[in-house]
Amino acid sequence: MRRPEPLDPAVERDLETLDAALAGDTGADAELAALVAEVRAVAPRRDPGARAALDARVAAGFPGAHGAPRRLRLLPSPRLMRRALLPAAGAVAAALVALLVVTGPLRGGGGSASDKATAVQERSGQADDQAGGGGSSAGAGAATPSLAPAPGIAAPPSTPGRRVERTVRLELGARADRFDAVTDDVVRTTQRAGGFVAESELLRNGGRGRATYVLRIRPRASTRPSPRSAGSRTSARSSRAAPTSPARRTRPPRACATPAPAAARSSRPWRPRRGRGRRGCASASPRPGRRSAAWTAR
Amino acid sequence: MTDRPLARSAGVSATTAPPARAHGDVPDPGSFDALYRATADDLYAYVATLVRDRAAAEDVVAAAFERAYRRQRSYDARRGTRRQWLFGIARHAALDELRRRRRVATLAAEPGAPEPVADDAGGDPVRRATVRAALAGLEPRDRELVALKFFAGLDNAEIAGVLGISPSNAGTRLHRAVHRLREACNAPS
Repeated sequence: MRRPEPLDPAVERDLETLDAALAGDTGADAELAALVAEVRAVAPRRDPGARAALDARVAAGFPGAHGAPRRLRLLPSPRLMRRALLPAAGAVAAALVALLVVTGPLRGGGGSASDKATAVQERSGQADDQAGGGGSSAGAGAATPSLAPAPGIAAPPSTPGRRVERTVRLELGARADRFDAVTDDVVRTTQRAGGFVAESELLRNGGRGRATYVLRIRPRASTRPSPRSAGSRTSARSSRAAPTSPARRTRPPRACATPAPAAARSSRPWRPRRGRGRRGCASASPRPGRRSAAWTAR
Repeated sequence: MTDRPLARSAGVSATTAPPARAHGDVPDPGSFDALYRATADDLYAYVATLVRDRAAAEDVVAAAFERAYRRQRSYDARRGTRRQWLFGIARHAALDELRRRRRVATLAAEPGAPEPVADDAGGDPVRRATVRAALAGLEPRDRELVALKFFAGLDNAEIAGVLGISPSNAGTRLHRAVHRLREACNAPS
């Protein structure tokens, strides 16, 4: 440890003289005492108004200062907030996944870019009239829905205990030979998500057809309730165009008792059938011999 | 380190003389109110010398007292007197203000604001102007030392604590600053 350097004796002596002048000693250096008086005479003085204001604040104990720490205590440090929000974040993620179980499959790659942009909608009202919009997709490949969040769909603000109903409409396109597989996937996915097919309708018209489903899904019913998922209920209406075929004409509504999987990704429906889907998805209009599907989720 | 008496706001070193300027009753020497009453004027003089702006100095002083009020429990007597602790807080607040403004004040007084006259300022106004100009002409570090010594009445150890330097270094620098001030005051105009 470095020892403090001693002051030069002359400097120390001058400083002692200065201290004496500052103290007002009678024996202090007259010139230095005069300098002290003159310097002090030009010392900045407080404004009386500001002085009174600060006096009042000090006398009151800095009311703002009392409030500020309390406000800070109400908002814990970011680290503590992260710790506290981790479980909540998991709940929100679960709710979000539950919603995506509905919205994700609806994002199938059957339509054109413009169709996709308009096909995925969140509606607050009924979506039955949107069923007619199905078939606009001209998916050359099989529908390859994914769990990716649908663009433009955001979880609505909700309060605990408040029932939130989301309506989502999505159109899917599928190849003719994939029509049945896709319709089956719609049902299976709904069941996996803990929902059921409330309504279904298959229309055949020559080589084309349309399947429409109304799906109702209660997000993450088997998981613990979260403010965002509690009481919410999602329904989906799906319609799809399909060629006329001796295939089943209607799919009876099925009540679903399958609870939603605990893991978010385990509930992912329609695993991409790699190498088969997405071909010709850029086509804007249905092509003969191909089936398009519109799936309206409500 | 024991805390020294607070009532020496007149700039008189407590090691050599009793306070020359009364600040009224001091009910509790350890209370914040006593600290405020003993140091407010000196703190303002010091801060105004630093920031060279009266309005800003008022704000800085208020902020410094508020910070000190909030951090009363953080005061450690082993690290210096409460006065030194308070001036250290004020210095940081003043430097924050200077950084915020990002300018070095060069004015002796705020434009348009009349310089308050000391109660005992009955001397030669020309001489006062000379001293004021001499102070303004000092380097900021020297001017701060003069303010800490002449206005605030801190001893060399306290000055060293406020500035974060050794006491011997503080003494050396103070000696140099006073020497320059005397030269500037005695320089022919």
